[in-house]
Amino acid sequence: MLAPIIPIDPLDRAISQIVWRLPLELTAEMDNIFQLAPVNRITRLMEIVTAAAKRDPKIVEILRAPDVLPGLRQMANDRRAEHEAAEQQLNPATAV
Amino acid sequence: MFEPNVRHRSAAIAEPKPTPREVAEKLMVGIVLHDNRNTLAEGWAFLPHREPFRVRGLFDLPNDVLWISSGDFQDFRKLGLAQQHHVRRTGYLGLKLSEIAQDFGIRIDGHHALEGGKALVVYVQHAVRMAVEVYGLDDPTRNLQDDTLVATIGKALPPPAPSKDMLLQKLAAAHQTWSSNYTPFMDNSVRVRLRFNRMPYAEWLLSNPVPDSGWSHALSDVGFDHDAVMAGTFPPTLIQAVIEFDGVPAEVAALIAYGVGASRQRAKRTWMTDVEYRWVSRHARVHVKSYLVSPTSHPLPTGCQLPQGLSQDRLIKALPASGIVSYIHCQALMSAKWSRVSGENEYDVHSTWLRAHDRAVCFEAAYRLQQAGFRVSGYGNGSVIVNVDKDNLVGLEQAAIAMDFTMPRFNALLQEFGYVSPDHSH
Repeated sequence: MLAPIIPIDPLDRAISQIVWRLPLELTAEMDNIFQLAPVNRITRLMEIVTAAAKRDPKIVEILRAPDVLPGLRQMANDRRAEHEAAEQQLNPATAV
Repeated sequence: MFEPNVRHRSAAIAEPKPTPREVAEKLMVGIVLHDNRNTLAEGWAFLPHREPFRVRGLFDLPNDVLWISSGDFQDFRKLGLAQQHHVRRTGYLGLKLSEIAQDFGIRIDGHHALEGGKALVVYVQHAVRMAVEVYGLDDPTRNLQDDTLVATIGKALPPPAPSKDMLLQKLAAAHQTWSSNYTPFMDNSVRVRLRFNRMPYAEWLLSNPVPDSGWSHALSDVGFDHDAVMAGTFPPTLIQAVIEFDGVPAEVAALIAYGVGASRQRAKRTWMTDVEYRWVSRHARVHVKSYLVSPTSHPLPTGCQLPQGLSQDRLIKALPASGIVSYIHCQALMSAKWSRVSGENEYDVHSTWLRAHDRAVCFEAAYRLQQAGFRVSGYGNGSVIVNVDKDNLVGLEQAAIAMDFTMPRFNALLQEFGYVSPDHSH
């Protein structure tokens, strides 16, 4: 197998492949996540991907590749943790 | 200039300055797809999430919107049309509207324009709004006056160090934007532009080092260390060279396309960067006549890198609009700059080296595709154009995936040519 021409992180590659397989209306929806807070972006991405995967088996195939779903889950967890940490800093009274 | 938000002056003073996002969200961007580009008259006008409407000509377009017409520079010039303050030509985003549409798999030709335009305008507005926000273009009426967004973003980037006069001709002679390879178009062929995902491509391109601005000139090839240049251990070098293609297979010589572009190269290709030398030398014999050497290379300045708003979040990086904005950013760095002093377009060291990296990597992709049996008709700007038999579109899709090309959207392309299911399995 030939070396990749441009170095791309495998998770970034998977996300990119999914985005460019989405039906047009969902790709446009993707662009809207720019307006969301980081913690909500991954949630919205997963909603879009889930909707698309029901119609396109190749998206399921991409998601099944090693490390893709765990990578997305990790990203969601990291963002949630960052968000909660920021919230606690802003409002220490609610800290557990 | 178009007026996105006309307000009373005193009210504007009293209100706090809007954030870049607020500015961006108020900016309306539309597209006009003319029925006949040769007349730039009747056509459909599109705004995101609104019903398209017919216009008789550019004069019918509301002036509270920035409009991008499907007419190009030649179309406007041919008709001698006066430039309208709120209308831009098709290449406003550094790509023609038809090229953006092709990447997305949207058809805007003939009767397809009515449906295709509705989809396309959404992406176009996203991209312009995103650029306004991430580059902090706080006053669109003032900031978006340029003919292209490439020029606007070019102004937002730090200017390159001026090059010495003796360097300018050589940089121009080393610069090649597009590489063309004549391939006859067969009846059963489809012309497909394969494009790397623009964002990772931009990040890779901008991660390449650029030479320092102090240069020393060697009058002959004495001291030129071929092996060190090939190994990348020789300092950055600008080489005056003659290429000999004797013994090189004809199809490879044609693919190298030295000085062969879509339009005539303004300066004769007599110079090349060490980046180009490395890959051309693997295929052909390069005779060095003289060279200039820079003492060292360093990373591209921080101000020339992609803005944080684009590159910080890997999900934002995956968005189609981010890709378009990152493409515009690279074009702004790689394009020639007009010099009031010389009255000519000039290339700086950064633009020449970035362009050389672009040509090198696009050649590598074109070469692999040629080796895999595809007919390549041109490459550059992170893309390769292939003429492929309709029956071999699925084969091209597989090659594109293996080589990390994400565009065009093959789903749409394959459906256009009769493959019915999204996964092409039947």
